[in-house]
Amino acid sequence: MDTWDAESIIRLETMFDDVTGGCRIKIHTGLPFRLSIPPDNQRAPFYIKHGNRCDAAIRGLYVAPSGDVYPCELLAREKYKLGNLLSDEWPEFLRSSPVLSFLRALQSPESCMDCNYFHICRGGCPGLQAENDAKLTLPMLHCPFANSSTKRVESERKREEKI
Amino acid sequence: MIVLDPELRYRADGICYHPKIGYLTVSDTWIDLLNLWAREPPNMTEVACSATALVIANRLIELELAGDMDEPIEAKYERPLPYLGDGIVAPLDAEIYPTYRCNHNCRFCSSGDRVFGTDDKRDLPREFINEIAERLNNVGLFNVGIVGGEPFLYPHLEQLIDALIAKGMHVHLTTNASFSPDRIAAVCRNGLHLAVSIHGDGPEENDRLTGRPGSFSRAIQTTSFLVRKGIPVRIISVIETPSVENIRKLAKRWIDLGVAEMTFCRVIRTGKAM
Repeated sequence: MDTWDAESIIRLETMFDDVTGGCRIKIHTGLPFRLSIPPDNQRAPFYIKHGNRCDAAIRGLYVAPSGDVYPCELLAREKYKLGNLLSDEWPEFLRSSPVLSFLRALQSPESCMDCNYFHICRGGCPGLQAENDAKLTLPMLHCPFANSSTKRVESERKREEKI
Repeated sequence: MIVLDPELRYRADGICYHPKIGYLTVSDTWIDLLNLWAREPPNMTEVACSATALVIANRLIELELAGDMDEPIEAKYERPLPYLGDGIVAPLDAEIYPTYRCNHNCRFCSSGDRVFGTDDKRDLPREFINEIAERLNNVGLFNVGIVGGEPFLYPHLEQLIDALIAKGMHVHLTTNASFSPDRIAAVCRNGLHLAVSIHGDGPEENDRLTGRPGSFSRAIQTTSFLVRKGIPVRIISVIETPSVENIRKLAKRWIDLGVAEMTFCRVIRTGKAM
């Protein structure tokens, strides 16, 4: 399927005021761009601590029909299961889950910090990394912003993968 | 006497939520509010009724936290707050998937194999509904989204919605609107926030994406029916190839249809869109 390229994402992020009418209009450029945080970081959502890469495990939960709880839809796989809402100790497993501790501490990759688009991406969605079987700590695979200004990200990622 | 907006919720950790404004904390100031509105402009009615209530609530929470309140605030506004450990924010939202079954075959479905594969398709058991609502309420969630699969294929949907709303949570539901409009209107009566997914501005594009001939006209008819009944509807459109003209055209169409809100989304490379 086609999806939006980097130019469209940037253009549509800024066209809020361009489409007006009697109702509320939102443009969701979607993961990994859900966290739209201004460059100066002054109006970051309060639940995001400095350097947090993602709000999974901080803000929301995913509950499957079986009652299994995961950090988010993209991390809804056995490896990242937090517990079962009905059969496990609740809400104790939110406190003790090693997966949650890992995600809460997950920082944006250092190699992404200089990118021009860091403020809308924060290194990319860890869930998409999981979908691609890539390490959650690495910069996003197939980064749409990896153009000439952000080439360093790609080269650094390759170097880290080798290590 | 102070009258709070009935949609307002707050928690003892100082987090406030209003469905039209989002999350704010007691430390938010008017400057922060104005910055927030600059990003997502509300209409003037929202500013008047919701934001004022939020600011009043912020003040009330400050007083309550400082122990200066003579009388407690009405319980329906306040969410419970468990102790989860130092520095751990209790979760704010949850998405419940009561079923992975679906009558559409959307090419971009993010649930992918869970809906279209051979995985276990058992629904959320009816006898667990009250327990689930109770437990989610215990962690002070503000918002619960009901998604899937198609939620209206879940036979106990009404019971699930009622159980969650009765606990004081805001409940959102996303549907393809291919079911009886009367049934959909009935579940909205308790303040459910409804979103209908329609993709593209005509049957050709929408039905190609959903894999279900006739899905566009059914969704439009149901949305018109709900709007005529005075039910606020949000439309969610997944846009494959974006252009300003395309989105403007679609926005005009949904405004003409009378919807309250609309969201345009990009295809995420996950699930069936991999």
